[in-house]
Amino acid sequence: MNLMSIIDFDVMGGGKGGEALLAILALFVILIVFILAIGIASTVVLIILIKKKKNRERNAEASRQTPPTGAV
Amino acid sequence: MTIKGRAAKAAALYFVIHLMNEVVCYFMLYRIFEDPVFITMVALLYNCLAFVPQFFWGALRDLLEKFMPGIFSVPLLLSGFLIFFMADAKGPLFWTSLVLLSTGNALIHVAGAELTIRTSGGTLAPVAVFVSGGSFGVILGQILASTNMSFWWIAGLCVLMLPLVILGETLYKGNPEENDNCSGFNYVITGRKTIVVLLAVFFIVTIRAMIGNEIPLEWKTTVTETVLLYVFMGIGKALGGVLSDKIGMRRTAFISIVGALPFLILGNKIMAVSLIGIMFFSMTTAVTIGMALSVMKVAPGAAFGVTTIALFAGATISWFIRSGSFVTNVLIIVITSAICFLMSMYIIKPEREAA
Repeated sequence: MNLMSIIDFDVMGGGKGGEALLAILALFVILIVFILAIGIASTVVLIILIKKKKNRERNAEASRQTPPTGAV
Repeated sequence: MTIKGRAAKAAALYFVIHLMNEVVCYFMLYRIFEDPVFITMVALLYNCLAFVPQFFWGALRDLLEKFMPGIFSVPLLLSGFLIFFMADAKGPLFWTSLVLLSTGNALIHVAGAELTIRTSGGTLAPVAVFVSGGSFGVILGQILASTNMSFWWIAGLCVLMLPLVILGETLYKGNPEENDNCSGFNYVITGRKTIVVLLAVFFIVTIRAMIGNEIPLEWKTTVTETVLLYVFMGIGKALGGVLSDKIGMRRTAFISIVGALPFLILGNKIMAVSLIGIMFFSMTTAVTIGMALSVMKVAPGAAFGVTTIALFAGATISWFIRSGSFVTNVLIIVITSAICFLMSMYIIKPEREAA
């Protein structure tokens, strides 16, 4: 369904005045806010993930450089 | 289990699960009989909730290894499906069923992408085969919805997904660490910035989704022809991954972007020619996933999510573009394809092809 044809449908009297277009635009605004929220939440998760990976690599590097106890 | 054996099992399993998932979703969506405005709002909400959060769910799965999106997806799908059909849902109950269905859909995609990528050993065929299952499911769901079939059969199909998803989770056991870390995905030229690659992937997928709606298809008038269209789309998606592994990603990108052009343009009225074009054109799916994965090895689920957000963006933008002119459509296809081709050649590594 093309959005433009909905507007045409509305203009031709198939819809309920501007209500239909308004409802779709309202939904658009809600979805844009939702997308932004998803973006922020995902970025936070990715930052934690990258930090976790860097810590793991640092620990692995440190344990490689430290000789095991008891070694001569 | 060998790496190839595990990858093949994951691909086959999620091809079937993905197909079943789309049958469930499209069966419900095509049983909604309302005015065009309502249907548009349903499509918009469903697409947004099914595609956009895959980025978040994917990132969450990458962070928490114990989070199994596939296990959560089936109850969500089933509850959304049953609320819609059993409660004859109207108003808030209807929208709740739609949210449950689309969230379940998003989670099953993440589960499939994670498994097929993390067990593939750096090959693209498994994830491409998984993705291709969706095309077959979409058309099958639409056809079944147009029959008198009881919704209980589809609910039963949805329940059957659960043991398959659990079977998929068992494939992680014994998976080599280098596979799980996605270290085999090296398709991008060294030095290309992550953000540039991701923006290019986003652009290419958005354009692909947009021009998918602009392809002239005057020949498509019957149900059989529509089925053929979806079948060739599915074959193309899978073939993109197989060819990338066999002949290299650059050559696959060339065939899928430049090679598809004459077929898409000349096939306006000739079905066979058009179907070849659509098959080639669908092969870009694997190419873009491979590009995103190469720069986001730490988060393959999120990398897959980048492409799904772009799909939503492309589909939504195409709602605003109305062009009935054949020449305009052809111009849009040619110009955008040229940009996509140049971008992919700038990013994709040529060395691998020689190997």
